[in-house]
Amino acid sequence: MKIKDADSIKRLAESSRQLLTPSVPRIAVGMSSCGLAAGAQSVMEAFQVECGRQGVECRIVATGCLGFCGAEPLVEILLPGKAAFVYGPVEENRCADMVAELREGRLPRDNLLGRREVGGAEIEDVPPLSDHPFYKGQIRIVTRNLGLIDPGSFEEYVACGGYQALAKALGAMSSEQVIDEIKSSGLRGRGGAGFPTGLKWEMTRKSPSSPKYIIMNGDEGDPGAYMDRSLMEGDPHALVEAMIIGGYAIGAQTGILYVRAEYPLAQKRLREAIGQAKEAALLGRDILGSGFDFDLYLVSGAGAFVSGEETALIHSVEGRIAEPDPRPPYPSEAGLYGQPTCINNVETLANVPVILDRGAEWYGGFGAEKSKGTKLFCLVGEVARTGLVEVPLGTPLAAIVHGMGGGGRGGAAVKALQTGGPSGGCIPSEAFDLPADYEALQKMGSIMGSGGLIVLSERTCMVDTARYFLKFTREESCGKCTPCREGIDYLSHVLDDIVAGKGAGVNLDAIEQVSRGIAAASLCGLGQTAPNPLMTSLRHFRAEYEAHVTENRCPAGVCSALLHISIDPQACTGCTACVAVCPVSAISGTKKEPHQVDQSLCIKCKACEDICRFNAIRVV
Amino acid sequence: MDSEIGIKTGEIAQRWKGTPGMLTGALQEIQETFGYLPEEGIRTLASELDIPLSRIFSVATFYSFFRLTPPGLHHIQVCEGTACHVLGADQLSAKLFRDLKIGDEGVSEDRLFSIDRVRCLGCCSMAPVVRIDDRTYGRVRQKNVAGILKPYLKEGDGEN
Repeated sequence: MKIKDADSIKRLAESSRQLLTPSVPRIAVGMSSCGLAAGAQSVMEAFQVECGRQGVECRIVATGCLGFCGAEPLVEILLPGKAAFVYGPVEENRCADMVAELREGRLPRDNLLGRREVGGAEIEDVPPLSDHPFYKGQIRIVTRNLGLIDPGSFEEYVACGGYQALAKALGAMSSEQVIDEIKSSGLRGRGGAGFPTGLKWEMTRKSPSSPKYIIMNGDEGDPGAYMDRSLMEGDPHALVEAMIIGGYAIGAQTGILYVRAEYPLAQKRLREAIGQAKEAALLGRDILGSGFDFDLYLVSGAGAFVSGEETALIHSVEGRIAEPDPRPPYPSEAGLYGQPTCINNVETLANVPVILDRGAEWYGGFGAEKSKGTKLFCLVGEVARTGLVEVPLGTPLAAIVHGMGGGGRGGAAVKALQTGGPSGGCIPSEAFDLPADYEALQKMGSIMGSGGLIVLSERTCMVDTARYFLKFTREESCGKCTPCREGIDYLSHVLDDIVAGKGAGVNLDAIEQVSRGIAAASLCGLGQTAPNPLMTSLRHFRAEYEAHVTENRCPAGVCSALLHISIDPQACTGCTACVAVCPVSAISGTKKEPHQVDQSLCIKCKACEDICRFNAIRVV
Repeated sequence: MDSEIGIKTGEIAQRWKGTPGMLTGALQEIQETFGYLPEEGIRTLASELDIPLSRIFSVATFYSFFRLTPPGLHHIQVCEGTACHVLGADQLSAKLFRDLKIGDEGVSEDRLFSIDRVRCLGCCSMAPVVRIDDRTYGRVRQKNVAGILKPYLKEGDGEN
């Protein structure tokens, strides 16, 4: 169906509303990559089979991520005239009972997380989802549609108010007015550096040359961050809409969605969305009768962290190796094929339709003074409740880690938080009253980065973590400039030596000096920020480095060359489970009596620790 | 170039010709079709897209996603993201290499399995994560490995 004007969008929204609130129960299963990894596919199939078998009429849909990944698979059941109820984790073998309860008119209660109001009668004894500790304090602006709509359905996006911002921009605003609105909203780039988005648009628009290009940077390369994947998989049309608006604002007729190869589902969903928007004539010639032409292409990355850097990304789109160029000239002057190009991060773009829809003033009401709006964070690692959280910028880190995250996993003491991935640094738990905004994190020597928050506990070794990041940047360094290529290689090998127990002669001050040199002399952001994880952990956890170097000891019990694995005779029941899993037959003993580890054979794989049910394996 | 590889690559090249990102897009599709980038495919692509062979090789070897040798029947990706690392991905991949008797070349002798340690798959909340073919497994512990591999082993046995 072709959509010719703003009125037909409104009409489609009206007629599609019954998809979201049908007259029969609507069962939505979160089917993003994380849900699928937890078994959402079998859960969805079980609901389909059971509804058929028990004769219960339902509308079963696949949606995006509801955020609380730690409780995947997540399922939302919307009961007509009542509310929507969110469950997690929902195991495949529970589906039959849940459908039976629906058939009998009862509300399933197991693993019920809370209710979401949909304008019907509330069920009083079920607390709202926003009261659940994981969701308390969160605001859903960017993630407004995640987990609520079927990302494969154009109509459901429109039913949620989709493409109305586009109609407003093309129908009632000039390009300059769109830019002004984004500027006054205070929106800053969510990819890490926090450059004001409206200003970036304006600079590209004012560049004299044409054609111009707009690119969405979906090369979410930071390990430990998946906000952008969730948005691309769960709400692809919001990004298509934002790109058309962005193209209109800067004067580009071609847009490119650049998405990394590791995200096959995100690529698929965006390709479908492009196809549907084309069919609806929201891409192509004379969009909504405004005279504005715009086309959108998806370009796949191919596995290179440096592609996230703007100039490297441009080379990648051009089909070359992703090596960065010195700036200036900036992409806004000379970017893709030498033409003015604006590159925006996925999360940044996802803000655009809401800002136009509800206005800059409304948007500016959220967040901190210099950091407006909300930010998505991925709360992962050694934390009790993992997931995707959206909070106003400026929310204290403690509220995120201890409030939403519930503290350390299995009660472990939280030691630090790693922000900003391989370009960021660690923040010790003593500083968790710090607000999560661009300036505060930078002051701590870390960066906001794209939003990965990796919780490190007493079970995490800071030296090993720094080594991990340096190995990462060493492998991802494109090799063009010497400080990055050689300097990171050097640091990485020094840390390899330390964790291998060969760090006796290492001078920690010298390491810091080399780090500063790399940061000062590298060509692009990758090298300039690569020493951050090492420098910050040296600053805050120097004692851990000293334990490795001078005492040959890993206090967290991680670095295998420095470990000693033994069995606590008091706790061991002699169940022989560890004997069966030990790959090198290093464990011996009589059944029902305490066992022993032969240190000369042990390879420290910790398979015994993994299998032991009596907590008898000691790792020191 | 009328071998299967030549013909299929030719079709892929025609589909991508002239669009932004055509080189990486075409290479990706070739790899999806054959599991790797066969030399004949790269040569065909060079002439069809009129791009120097040297540039295609530089792209194919720069990006970690591309492989120039065939994978095993089942391809295992062990995520190396930070959350997975912190929660024991190293030990997990060591176990997979050990149990499947896979050496540095990354493919088992019977070519049933190959392993790659890959960049973050973005399922950090389910760490540690392993992807086998198109299916992703979350919260994988060493003790679950045997159970996860089982269906893939059976299939291989059936084919022998």
